[in-house]
Amino acid sequence: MNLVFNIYLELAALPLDIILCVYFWHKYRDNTRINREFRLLSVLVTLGTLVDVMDAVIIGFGDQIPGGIRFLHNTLDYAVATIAAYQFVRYVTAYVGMEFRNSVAAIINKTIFAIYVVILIQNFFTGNVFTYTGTTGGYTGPLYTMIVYVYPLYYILFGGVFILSHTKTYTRGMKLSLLIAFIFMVILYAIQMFIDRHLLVTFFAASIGLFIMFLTLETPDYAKLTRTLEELSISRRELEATGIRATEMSRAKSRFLAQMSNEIRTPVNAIMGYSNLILADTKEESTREYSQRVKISAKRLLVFFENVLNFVSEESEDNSSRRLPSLAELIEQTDEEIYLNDSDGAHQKALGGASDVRILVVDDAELNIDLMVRMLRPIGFTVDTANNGKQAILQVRKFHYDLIFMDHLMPVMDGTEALKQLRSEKLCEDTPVIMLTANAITGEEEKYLNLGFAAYITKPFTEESILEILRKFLPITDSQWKGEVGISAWEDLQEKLPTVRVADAREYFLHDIDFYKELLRAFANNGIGTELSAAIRKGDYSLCLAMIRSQHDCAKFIGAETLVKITERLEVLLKKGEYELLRERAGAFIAEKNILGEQIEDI
Amino acid sequence: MIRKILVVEDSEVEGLYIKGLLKRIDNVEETVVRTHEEALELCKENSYALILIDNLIPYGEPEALLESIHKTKPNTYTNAIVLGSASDFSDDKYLEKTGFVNYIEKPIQYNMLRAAVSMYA
Repeated sequence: MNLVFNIYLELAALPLDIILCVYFWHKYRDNTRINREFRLLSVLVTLGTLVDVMDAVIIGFGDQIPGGIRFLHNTLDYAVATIAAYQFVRYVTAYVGMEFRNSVAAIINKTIFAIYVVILIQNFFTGNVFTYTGTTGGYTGPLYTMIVYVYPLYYILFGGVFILSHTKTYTRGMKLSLLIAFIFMVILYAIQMFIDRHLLVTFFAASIGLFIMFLTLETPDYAKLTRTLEELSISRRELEATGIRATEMSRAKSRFLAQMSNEIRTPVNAIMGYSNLILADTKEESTREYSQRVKISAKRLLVFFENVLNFVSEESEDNSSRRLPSLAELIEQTDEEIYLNDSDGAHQKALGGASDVRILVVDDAELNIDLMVRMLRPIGFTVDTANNGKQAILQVRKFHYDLIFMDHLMPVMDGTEALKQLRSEKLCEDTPVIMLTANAITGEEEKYLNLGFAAYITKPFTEESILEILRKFLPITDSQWKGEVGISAWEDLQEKLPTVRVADAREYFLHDIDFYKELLRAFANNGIGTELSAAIRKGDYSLCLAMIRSQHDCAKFIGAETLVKITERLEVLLKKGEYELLRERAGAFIAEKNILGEQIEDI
Repeated sequence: MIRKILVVEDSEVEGLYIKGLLKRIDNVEETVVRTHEEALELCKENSYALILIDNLIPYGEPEALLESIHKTKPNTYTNAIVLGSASDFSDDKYLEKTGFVNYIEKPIQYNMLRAAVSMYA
C-alpha cells in the first residue's frame, strides 16, 4: 500500500519539479548569489524526488535487488536529502549577503556538513549507520537516526530560525512562504521519522515547499525589482558622490574668486586712493590731468574685472548662454564724467572733537593702511593700525575704539576670525566693526553682516564711502560734520556766554551744540540758590555738601569756570565747619549763577 | 539686545546730562530717578543690566541702597557703579567693602561711561 502512495506522491511531484527546475534555469539567468542558490536548490529537490521514486521502485522489488545496489541507492537518497536541506540554508542566508558567509554559524554548518560526509563514507566500512546483509534486508546502526533525520531536520530548523531572526531582510510574503514551507517539511519529516519510515514523502514535501517559495519569492517581477533596486542604489551613490564633488568645486571656485578679487582690488585701491590725494593736494593743472587719467584707467580696469568675476561667479547658476563683455564694449559704455566726478578733491576738513574718537584700521596691505590714515587723521581722529587680526586684538585690549575697519584676508589671523574672538572675549561689544574687503563677489555682503560686521565696504573705497560710515557709526553730530557752520555756531555761543569757557564744555557734550544748550537751560532754571541758603540756615550740612558738589560738577561740564572755583571753596569751608563764611560765600555763588542764567536766556 | 540701565542721581541737571550721554550708546534703555526710594521700587519690578548710583544723595548712603537692591529678586546679581569725585573713593578697599564693581569720576565723560556700559552691562 505504501509503495503505491510513495510512487504516486513522488511521481506527482517529479513533473512539477522538472518544470520548475527548467523554468528557474531559464528565468533566473542573472549570476547573483540568490539566483544561483535557488537554482541549485531546485535541482537538488528534483534530484531528490527522482531518487525517491527510484527508492520506491527498489522497495517494491524487495530482495530481488542486490543488497549492494540498495546500500548505494540509500546512501545517495540520504545524502541528497541532507544536501538539499543544507542548500535551503544557503539559499535563505544568501539574502543577507556576505554578512552570514563569514559568521561563526556558517563555519559550524560547514563543519557539521563535513562530518556528515565523513560518517557516510565510513559507513561503507563500518555499517554503523545502515547496511544490507544478504537476503535479510536492511539493518540500521546507531547513527542511522542522526544521519537520516536529525541532519536534514537540523538544517531546515536552522533555516527557519534564521528567517525569524532576520525578519527585516524578508518581505511579509517571503516570510509567510518560507514559514509554510518550513512547517510542511518538519511535519512530513516527523511523520516519516516516527510513524512510517518507508513513507517516502520528504521530497514530495520539499517540492511543495519549493513551489510555494516560487509563487511568493522568486517571481520574475521580484527579481527585476531587486535588480532595479540595486541599480538605483548604485545610481544614488554615484549621484551623492557627484554632489559632493560639485560642492567642493563650488567652494574652491568661491575661494578662487575671493582671492582674485582681493589681488586685483588691493592695488587698484591704492592707485585710485593716491590719485585722489594728488588731486586734493595739487593745483598744478597738468598734474591734476595726469592723475585724473590714472584714476579713470584704474576704475575702468576695476569695472571690467568686476564683470569678469561676476560672470564667473554666476556662470554655474545661469543656464542661458551669456557672453562676457569685451573691454572695448566696456570702454564704449563708460561715461567718463562718472569717474571724473568721483569724489575727488572733496577733502574733509578737521572736525572739532574728533581727537576723542579713536579708530583702528586693520589691513595687511601697507598701502591701504597708509591711505586710510591719510584720509582719517586730517579729520582729527586718533588712528591706530594693525597688520592682522591678532595684532588688532592686542590693540583692542589696550584701547577702547569707537570704530574698527577690518580687512578680510590677512595672514596670521583673518578679519572674520578676529571679529569672532573680539566678540567672544567681549573686548569691544559696542564698537562697530566694518568689513573693508577686496572680496566684492555678489552675495558676500549678507554673509559678512551675518558674521556680525556692522557694515561692508569693498575696495577700492572712496572717501565718500568712508565718510558715510563715519557719519553713521561715530558719536558725531550733523552740526559737527557741517564743519565751518558748526564751528561758527560754537563761536556765536561763546560770545553770548562770556562767563563760560565753551571750548571746555564741547568735549563733554560730544560737540553737540543742541545737547549743550539743553543742559545750559536746565542749569539756569535749577533754583539751587534758594535751596542751598535754606539748607545752610537749617544746618543740614550733608544736604549742603550734596548740593555744592552737584553744582560743582554741573559747572564743570558746562564750562562755568568761575562757578567751579566758588563751589570748590564752598566745599572746603563746609568741611572746615566755617558755616558763617559758607553762608556769605554761598551768596556770591548765587549771584554768579544768576549772571550766567541771564546770559543763558539769550542763547 | 537692549540693556536696561538705571541711574540714581538727585541732581536734575546731572541726571539730564547722564541721560543724554546714555542715549548715544547703542542698545541702551535708560531710566533716571532722583531718590533711593524710587530706585528701590523700580528694582523690585525690573531687572537692570547696570545701575549707576550717585555717591552724594541726601538722606541715604549708596552702599545701603545697593544692599537693598541686591536683596530684590530681579537684581540680586546686577552690577552697580558709584558716581562721585575721586577723593570719595581714596580707600583702596572701598569697592570691596561696598559691593560696587567700579566707580566713575564726576563730571562723567562719555568715553568712560561707554566703556563702563560695555564692560559691566
